[in-house]
Parts: sequence; C-alpha cells; structure tokens
Amino acid sequence: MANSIDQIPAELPANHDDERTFAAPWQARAFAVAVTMCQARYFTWDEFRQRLMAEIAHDAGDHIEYYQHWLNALQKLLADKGFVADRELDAKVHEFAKPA
Amino acid sequence: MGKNHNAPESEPALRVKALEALLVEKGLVDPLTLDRLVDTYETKVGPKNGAKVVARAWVDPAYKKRLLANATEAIAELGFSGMQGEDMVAVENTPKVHNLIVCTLCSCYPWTTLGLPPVWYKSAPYRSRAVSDPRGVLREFGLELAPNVEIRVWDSSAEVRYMVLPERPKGTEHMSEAQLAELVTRDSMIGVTQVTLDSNSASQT
Repeated sequence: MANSIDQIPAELPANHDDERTFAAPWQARAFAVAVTMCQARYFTWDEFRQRLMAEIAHDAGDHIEYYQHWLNALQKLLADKGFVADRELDAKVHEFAKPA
Repeated sequence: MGKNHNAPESEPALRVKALEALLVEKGLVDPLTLDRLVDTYETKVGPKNGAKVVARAWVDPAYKKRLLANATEAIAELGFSGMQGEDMVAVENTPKVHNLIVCTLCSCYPWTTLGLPPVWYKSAPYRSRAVSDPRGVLREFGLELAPNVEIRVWDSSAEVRYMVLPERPKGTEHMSEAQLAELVTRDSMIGVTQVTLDSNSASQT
C-alpha cells in the first residue's frame, strides 16, 4: 500500500507523459499519409487497421513506439497494394541518408 | 526540417520522408493536404469538441435523448463529424453504472469528439487491464468507485466508436453551458475519471 506508486506502470497516466499530439514530426507525417490516402480511397480504414493490429499483436512488449507500428503497417499496406515496393522505399531511404 | 543539419535523422523519420517523397512523385498524396491534416489534428480536433457535446447534453434533455439514441447524428448537429466518428455511441454514466472505453486490439478512438488518443490509451497495459481489472485501472487514475457501482467496459471495434457521457457534478446548477464545457475533461469522456468542479484545473486538456 505504502509503495503503491511502484505498481503503476509507466504507461499509465499517473506518470503523465508528454501530451502533445505527436512526439515527433515524422509521426505526424506517417499519421497524415495513412489518413489522407484512406480519405482518397486508395484503401479502406479497415485494411489499414488490420495491419496495425497485426503489428501491435507481434510486439513482444519491447516498447516499440506506437507510431513505429503505424509506419510498419502503412509500409506493408502500400506494398500489398502495389503503391510502393519495399525495394523502392529502401532505395529512397538510402538516397536520403547520404549527405547531399 | 533544418534544425541541425549535422544531426542524422532517425530511422523512422528517414523512412517516412522517403515514403512521402515516393507517394508525392507518384501523385498519390499532396504535401499540402498532409500539412492541413496535421494542423487539423494538432490544433483543431480535440476533447474540447466532446466537452461541448457533454455540456449540451447536461443542459438540454432533448439533446441528451438524441445523443443516447443516435450519437453520430447528435454530435454532427454541433458540427463534429468525420473519420473515426462515423458510427458513434454515447454511453451514460449514472450513480449505478460507470462506463469505460478501450480498444483492446489497437487504438480505435472517437477522433471527431476527443482528438487523437493519449499515449497510455494505446499502451499494452491499458488495453489489457481495462478489461481484466477495470476497477484497478480506475484506482490508478484516482477514481475509487463504490463496490455496488457496475463498471461497463466498451471495446471499440472497426465500426463503433464510444464516448462516455459523464455525470454532471453536483453544485453546477448555476453554471452556463460554456462553463460546464470547461469542466469536462478528456479522461472523463474515456471514462477513467469523473467530472468534478475542479477537474479543469488538472494538468490535462
């Protein structure tokens, strides 16, 4: 009882986390890409959600950030739908990673 | 975006940037649309919308009736509609029943009335314990319910999004609708807390 604070998982808000909507700009971009493309009917929300659930379910509790799951789900969906192949994405990442 | 040119971008940041660039090249997304959407969710959509719905229901019994009968339409009356708000259900707290919302499998949440979910709502402990030990979860939020109060846990699914209609606190009979809306917190509409006379002085928004 006296040490009940120790039992509160860090994720619960007793230890209030940063309440900004997005913790980093990339999270906002990943969010916006998924929502915009759904609104433009390139895919349904349920198609995205199924992949998001799968990513979250595979999480072995190693505290991968939520938006990492989001991004992985988005990447898989875009590959499944033939919009962006993984190879193509890897090449672009490689290009951006190099100093100009 | 050019804070420090020497700092390497994180792996996900790089991947999102590459993904966005490819989608723009292919004409599948417009960066301006993305900007607008981010701005909307960062500044315009949030629990203040839900608070207006709750305050209206507290002062207008006819509205409350409509809200409980068809929340999507009643919420749209106040101008709030859109993604993740297409099929809304409002669940009412009473002295005998306390409602709690969760999405056990991912992070479904009523965006149009509450904005995007807080980090803890998406966490594994909340998603599992809201179902297995709701009373314990509420206790950690500082809410101790009497043993005879029934707790109903609502698991958001692909279609339905829930929001809690909290109880109007005692001693607010003299308050205007706008003043009442100020009292209503995000957490009270998720159902992890109740609305109190000083709940707007808490740190949350």
